[in-house]
Amino acid sequence: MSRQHYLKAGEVAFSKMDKVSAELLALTYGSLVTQLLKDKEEIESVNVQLEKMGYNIGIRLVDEFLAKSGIGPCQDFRDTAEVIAKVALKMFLNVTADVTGWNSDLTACTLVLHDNPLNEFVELPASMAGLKYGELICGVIRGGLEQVHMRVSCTFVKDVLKGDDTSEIALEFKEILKEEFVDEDE
Amino acid sequence: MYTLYINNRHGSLVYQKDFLSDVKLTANDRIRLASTFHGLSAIAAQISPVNTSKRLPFGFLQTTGISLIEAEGFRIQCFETLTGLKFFAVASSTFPAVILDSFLKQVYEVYTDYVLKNPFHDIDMPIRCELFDRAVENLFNSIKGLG
Amino acid sequence: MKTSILDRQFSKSKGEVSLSLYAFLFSEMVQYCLNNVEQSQQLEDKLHEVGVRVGYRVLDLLCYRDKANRREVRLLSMLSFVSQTCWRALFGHAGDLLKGQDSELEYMINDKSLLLTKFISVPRDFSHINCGAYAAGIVEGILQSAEFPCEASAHTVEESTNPPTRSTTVLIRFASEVVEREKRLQNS
Repeated sequence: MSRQHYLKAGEVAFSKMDKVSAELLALTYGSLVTQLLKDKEEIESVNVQLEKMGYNIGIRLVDEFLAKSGIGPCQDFRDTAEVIAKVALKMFLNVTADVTGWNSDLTACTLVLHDNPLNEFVELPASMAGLKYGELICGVIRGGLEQVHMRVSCTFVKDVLKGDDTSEIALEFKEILKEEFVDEDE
Repeated sequence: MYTLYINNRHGSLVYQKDFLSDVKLTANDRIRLASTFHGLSAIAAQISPVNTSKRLPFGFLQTTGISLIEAEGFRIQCFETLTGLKFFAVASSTFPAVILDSFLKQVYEVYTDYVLKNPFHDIDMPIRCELFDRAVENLFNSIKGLG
Repeated sequence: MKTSILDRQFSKSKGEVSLSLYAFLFSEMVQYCLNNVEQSQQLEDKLHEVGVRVGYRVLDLLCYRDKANRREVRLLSMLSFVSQTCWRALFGHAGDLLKGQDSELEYMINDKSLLLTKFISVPRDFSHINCGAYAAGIVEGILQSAEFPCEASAHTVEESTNPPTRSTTVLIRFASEVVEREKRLQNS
């Protein structure tokens, strides 16, 4: 499947979705992060909570993605990364990412985000340098992929909020989750 | 169409809706039937001689369970998602398969809206969402004349 | 060198994202609040608290962008700003402003299809909870930071349409000094 095909699919999918103001999203997310910072003592627990919430969203969001995007099963992990970058991110966040930095096994890559609607109005003070503000997105990706039996690791490695030029997510394929045959008589 | 069933990815029944009052099954019957269907579908996938997709690296993504059971006077049609959910319905043989298939896919879409976005619903648990019920009824009403 | 956020353009943003993502985030927030309170009655308070914080920022944002730094001091103009401008910017359509029948301190903003609760079916054992408390918090935040002290709460109204629909009403109860000030301004 070509990049062009996915870009088009992403645009079509987004056009069919009901829309809401990106500012409302940014303000809501910001307020949530502030609430978490208030509830938890350490910044690292906030990072973990954000990723976990993202994971909970991801396990649900993936079904909507599959139901409404018309995208079928992927051929390999390269395909998966492109689908996430061009179709899924577009459909939900109205942004696309570039997939670069593949390793020789084709199991790890970097998603370069040009824009992140969650970052609108946000400035990280120096005391919060350890906060992974956008980690929710990483959790969403991890949760979504787990529902289709892929275990991955996903985290921000560069963030414009911390002074980097771009925001980048490192995505690595770990393993296929085998389905266990659950005993029906339980 | 007689009844709609939804199984979660572990094979347990989470939702059912009768569209005709003729259906006389107890709640336990239904749960057992739904689990049996899940089991049969899994077995069918394993004994299926068609194996080409497994050779591809991501072959595990292809759904290979039961999609249709034809019997005297009725059929069971199933739509399985890549996440392991099964949406299946029991309908009379005269009910057009294409419409039923489209119905099942639309139920999936409605599921992603009114079930998954409901904070009071725990994933994999039985579905008790009023808005989902209503949406499924609306979907049924829009197709019942076509059967 | 990192450009300061203060140097960035305050663009007239028409940026959009999908409602679905917002709904998933909101649902997750509600679940977080639900799991972090001891009694379910406190869920509304927690949501309200998160909303108030949004409200403080909304005022700054919209006042600067849409009203070129003019601040409303009259009660009805402020309420109109909230139910029209703010509502439209946040929720995509205007809300209906109503005056309370029982008290001169009360006003209501009604939204027939509040997008926050579009996908939420509240089960019977939680029927006292209204997730619109978040919207009420936003309203309270806006009004408080504009120097109109008040309390805002959310209530569900069953409309007698067929099929029956539910609309959300945010009830605003102003502190008495607000109404007194308004009377003084009116007489001057």
